[in-house]
Amino acid sequence: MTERQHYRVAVSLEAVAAAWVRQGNAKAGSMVQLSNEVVPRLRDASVWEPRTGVRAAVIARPVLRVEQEPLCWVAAVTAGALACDGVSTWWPDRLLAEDGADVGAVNVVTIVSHGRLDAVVVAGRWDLAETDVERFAAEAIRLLDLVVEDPHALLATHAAHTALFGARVRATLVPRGELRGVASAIETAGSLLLTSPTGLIQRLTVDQLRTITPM
Amino acid sequence: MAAPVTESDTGSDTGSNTGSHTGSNTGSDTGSNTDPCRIVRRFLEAVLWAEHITVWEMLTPSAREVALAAAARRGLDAVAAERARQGTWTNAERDRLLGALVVGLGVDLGGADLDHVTVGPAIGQADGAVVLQLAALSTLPKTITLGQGWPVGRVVLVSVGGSWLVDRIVR
Repeated sequence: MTERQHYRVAVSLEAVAAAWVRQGNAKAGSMVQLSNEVVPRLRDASVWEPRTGVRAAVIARPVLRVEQEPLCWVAAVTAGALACDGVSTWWPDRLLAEDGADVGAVNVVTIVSHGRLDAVVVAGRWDLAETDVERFAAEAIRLLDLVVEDPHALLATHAAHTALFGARVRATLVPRGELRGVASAIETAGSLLLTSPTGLIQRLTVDQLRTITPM
Repeated sequence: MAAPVTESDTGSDTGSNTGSHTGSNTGSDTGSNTDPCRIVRRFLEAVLWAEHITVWEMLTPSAREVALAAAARRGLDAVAAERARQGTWTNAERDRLLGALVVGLGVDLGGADLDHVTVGPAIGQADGAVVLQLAALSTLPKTITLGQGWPVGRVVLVSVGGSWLVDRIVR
């Protein structure tokens, strides 16, 4: 039996969920929901500005190797999109409305123990009232299982819900530098492939990425 | 400065590279323009967008030799380097080598926002060569920078077969 915790206010969604995991009694599928969040920070430490909307984090315990962590972002952002109607993904963490506006973001926190991923916290924030958080939780668990069982199916599901592929993008990197090209696919290692006008394929990983914007 | 090359040298080199690989990324895209500033602007754009074949085509033969020598210091074997000279390299070899070249150029020029680098005017001109200054926009008040940007580097262009090609970038 999975559990649900709901807080009226907390500092951070991920912090509450990760603390629950570290206490050791959070089962896979357990979910945390917040009504108000003090510091809603995203992957790149930026603050999720909308103060209203839906916030939920689901705890998963897939049997993953550490190097499979990049695919968790693919699973998370796809689950975030599937929780709403008419929303598409913008790898690695943004959710876009049909007009291209930011309407949500996901975050992934991995908890490592003994060289394996002990737990994955997938947090979602949506500026949409009609978000189905129960579906988000179910899809996050299902898609994280696909990371192990069938990464190609995961990538196909993601490709069906993304606005990124085919777009000319500029990616700024950490600590500096940038890559440009047409976003063409995500490979099974979890890297985004950018294709240059002359056909050069460049790989971009989540940990390299600061921002990725259309041009 | 580039070693003198004949028109036929340039023609055969470009032909072997473009015929099999690039398709539309030739001709007016790289070599037919005679304005050095536009050539440099196009070169920077090619670096920004990782247009590896375009970048290679816009280099003089001596600049290509410098790139191959740098690759040799990083493990490129002599046979593969010769294939690159002949234009008989495989697509995988080409992408690996030119991908590293584009990344290296991007790093060399990475201190400036290349979208906003200004090119020129020519600060030196010799027989068959022209030197252009690259400048980045300054965020400091104009009273400090005297209204000019910060120098990013200089690009030396050499005329080869009637087209300007990039011979050197001096930081």
